[in-house]
Amino acid sequence: MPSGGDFWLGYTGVMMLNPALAQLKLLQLADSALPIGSTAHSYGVESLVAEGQLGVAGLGQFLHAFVQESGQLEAYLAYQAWRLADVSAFDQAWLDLNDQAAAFKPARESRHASAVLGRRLLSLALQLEPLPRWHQASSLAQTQQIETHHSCVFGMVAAGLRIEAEAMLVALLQQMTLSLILACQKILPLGQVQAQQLLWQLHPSIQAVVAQTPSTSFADLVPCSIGLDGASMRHPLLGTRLFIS
Amino acid sequence: MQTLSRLERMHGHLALDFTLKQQRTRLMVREHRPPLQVVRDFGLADGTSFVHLHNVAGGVLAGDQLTTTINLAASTKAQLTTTSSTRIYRSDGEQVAYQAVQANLAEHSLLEYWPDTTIPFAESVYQQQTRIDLADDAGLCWWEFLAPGREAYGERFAYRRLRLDCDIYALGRPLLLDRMRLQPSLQQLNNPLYFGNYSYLATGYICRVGLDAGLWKALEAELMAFAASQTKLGRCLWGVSCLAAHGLVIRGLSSNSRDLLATAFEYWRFAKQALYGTSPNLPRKIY
Repeated sequence: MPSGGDFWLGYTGVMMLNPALAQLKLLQLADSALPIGSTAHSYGVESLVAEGQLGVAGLGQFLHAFVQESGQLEAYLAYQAWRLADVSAFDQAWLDLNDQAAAFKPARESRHASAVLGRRLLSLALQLEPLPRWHQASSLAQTQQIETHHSCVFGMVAAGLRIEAEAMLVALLQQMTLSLILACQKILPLGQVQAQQLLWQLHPSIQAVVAQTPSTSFADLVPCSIGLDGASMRHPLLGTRLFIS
Repeated sequence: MQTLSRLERMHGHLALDFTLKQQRTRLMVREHRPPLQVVRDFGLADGTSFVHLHNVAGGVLAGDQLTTTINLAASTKAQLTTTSSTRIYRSDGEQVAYQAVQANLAEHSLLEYWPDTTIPFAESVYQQQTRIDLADDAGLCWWEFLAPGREAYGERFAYRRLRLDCDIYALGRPLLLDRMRLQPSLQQLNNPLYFGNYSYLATGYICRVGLDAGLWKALEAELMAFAASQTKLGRCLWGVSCLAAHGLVIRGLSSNSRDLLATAFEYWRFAKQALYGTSPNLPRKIY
């Protein structure tokens, strides 16, 4: 657990973790090598590639739209979870947020992937730093038999570590996008350098989504990915699959 | 001219209550304001109340605000359909054509909704908000069909902005929050994240609150097999998926509307047999 000297007063007026220490923890939690299984999922991209709908040529535009749409949803969920850090009525708010997360994901495989990653991240976080709020979330998941979604857990964990919301959101979207690019590398002729260029070019899109997230309300939330959702629904039909979703 | 266009805007409202009388569902139109109208209901052989929803204006104009509330009492059964496509007319400014539907389904009721296709004309701005609340053992078959515009007239994704929300709650908890904002000037709708090479969209929601998750998984497998048989790359794509509980969602993309309309009914034929042990009543316009 962080000691008293690890904190400083952030610009929001909330006690935050020392920037360098916060950055270290974020780097670890948002690393694509974090053993929670994020590289086992394509969220329907494998179907789009198999159907000939997506190739390397259209990948940049596809990922830009992915960040705008799915990124908007995941950033919203993470930010709402982050805001629950010091809320006294945590239980119901946490249940409601994870209910919403599930309801915004129509495709079973993608929804399940989000839940599995969330459960594993929470379990791992508890083994790194057993904070009471994280225990509370873990106990709720077991007693209420609910799924805890990845972005919700990511936001809650970051809040527990006193990491600034903006840094948390940037890291989440970077990790989410990188995971998808890594998945694309397995099923498309996409080289290492090209993959990094794609990610680099997406930074303005990520930044834009992060900037609008604090002012996004539940009513404003319109994550539209009808083609990708449909592809995720058809994923179980693929004869040969590299990914779970 | 501006004053005239203000006067022409409609605040239509339709309030439909379905109640049970002698084992048959009967409609009571609690309120109707033009351009929304219902003439009467037709009793089907299985006790279902069958209703045509009319919009006597022929479509939704910019600035129109049309709201419909549908209340199904316990153990009632209703089937609703529109009389023609919903045309969304062009907007000269930022005026939004707006429609909202609120459906409340009490215990053991069943609502089947078979609208015609929504056709957003070039330069139209449209918002549609649907909220459906399901009580215990309430059942739902709800479809939405969306065209890219008047294709025969050369319009494809020429509308300015669409926002289509369908929020379904079961026992007070969100079951599906299916929302989309389509804005061709900001999104490339031929991106495979959206429509890809397809133009028409069909979405179906099939629910019955309280059924075991295993039943939904089995039904998903059955409908997926059907979806696979109906999927033809370059022409039509279908997908089926269980929701977190109580139901499943079906999504189709097609290069034409006919494939979607005809196939959508077949999904419900399979599902109604599995969920209720009966066959659905075929609306006369679906062949």
